[in-house]
Amino acid sequence: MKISSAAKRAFLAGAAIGVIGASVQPALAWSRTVSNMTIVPHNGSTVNVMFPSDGATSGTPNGNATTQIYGDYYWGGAGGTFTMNLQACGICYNLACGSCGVPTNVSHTGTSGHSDDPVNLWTGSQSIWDYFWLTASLSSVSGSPTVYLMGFGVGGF
Amino acid sequence: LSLRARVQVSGAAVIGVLVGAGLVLALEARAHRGTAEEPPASNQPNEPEVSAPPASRLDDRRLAALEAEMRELKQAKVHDSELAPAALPAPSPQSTLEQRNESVMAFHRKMEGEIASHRSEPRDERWATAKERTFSSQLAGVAAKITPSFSVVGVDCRTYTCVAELRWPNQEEAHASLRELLSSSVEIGCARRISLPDQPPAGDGYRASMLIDCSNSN
Repeated sequence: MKISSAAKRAFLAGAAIGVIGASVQPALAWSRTVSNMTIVPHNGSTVNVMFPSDGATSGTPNGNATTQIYGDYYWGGAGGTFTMNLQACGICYNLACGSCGVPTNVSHTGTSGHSDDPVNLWTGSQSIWDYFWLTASLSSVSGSPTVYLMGFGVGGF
Repeated sequence: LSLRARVQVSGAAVIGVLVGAGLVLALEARAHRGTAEEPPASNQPNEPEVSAPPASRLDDRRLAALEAEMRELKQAKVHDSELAPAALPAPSPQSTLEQRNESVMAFHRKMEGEIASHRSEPRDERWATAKERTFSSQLAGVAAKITPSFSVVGVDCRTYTCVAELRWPNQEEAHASLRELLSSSVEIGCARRISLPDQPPAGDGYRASMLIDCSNSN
């Protein structure tokens, strides 16, 4: 049977599409919104939000397989200026070691608004027995802004 | 194009998609199988090499081991059918504890290496002097508001990293304050890592080093 050049081109194009389609990985294997709806105090006190430290290393929510973290908050009230400080930390099971990633510090001005800021990853001991948590706190507050933390969005493989 | 040619082109395209996708999946499966069967890398530098037995001998050994395990499971089921809901071997608590401790020890060793790297880092006088003053003040502020508290013995900065020497009355208080120390030191604005290894009791309390890594900070 004679195969036309158009059919050959269609085969090659189809093969290319098949290769690309099968190679593309999903953006995230899992994601979780860790809710913690609370007002962040003005006095610098820290709001701590724990993250589940499930034992699996991939496929289910756990600290070591996390690739993305976002802090979600909005502000209102009388308005003013403030800096939101967000960070992600990990700690060893026996409290003998711990670490936090580079904090995210974002300044805001105005009477109301909303922000969803990326947070640098925690780094624990990389063992499945680490515990993970996120923190939110305010600094450089002037005026009377009311800042509501909604929670953190966490995702990974 | 004629109807026949169109059918031919469409068919070729569909076959192409299937062949391409199948090729990728087959390669992935092969790669996965290859990594799954690789033994874990050894950390022992002087471990003697052991030659692998031929595949058939290995299969025979595995088969014999599996048969022995099956016999044990059957016997366990007969003896403990009323008591044990599942006669599967449970992971040893001792081995789990050893694995946990090994990960902590690995963290301690990594920290030692990072602090040694810090000591060999050249000193940017202007940056280091400013950061030593700022971080000392910020850590003293943290010490004033958390319980158990600690004291700042000193801060040594170089070009991108600093090491803060902290002191507690004893190791238990250091462990108890660790989480709050990390949570409350966000103002430093850099990544922080701290290791609290076991130490023999000393007259002047328990000391530990916090590494402050500003290499990825603005």
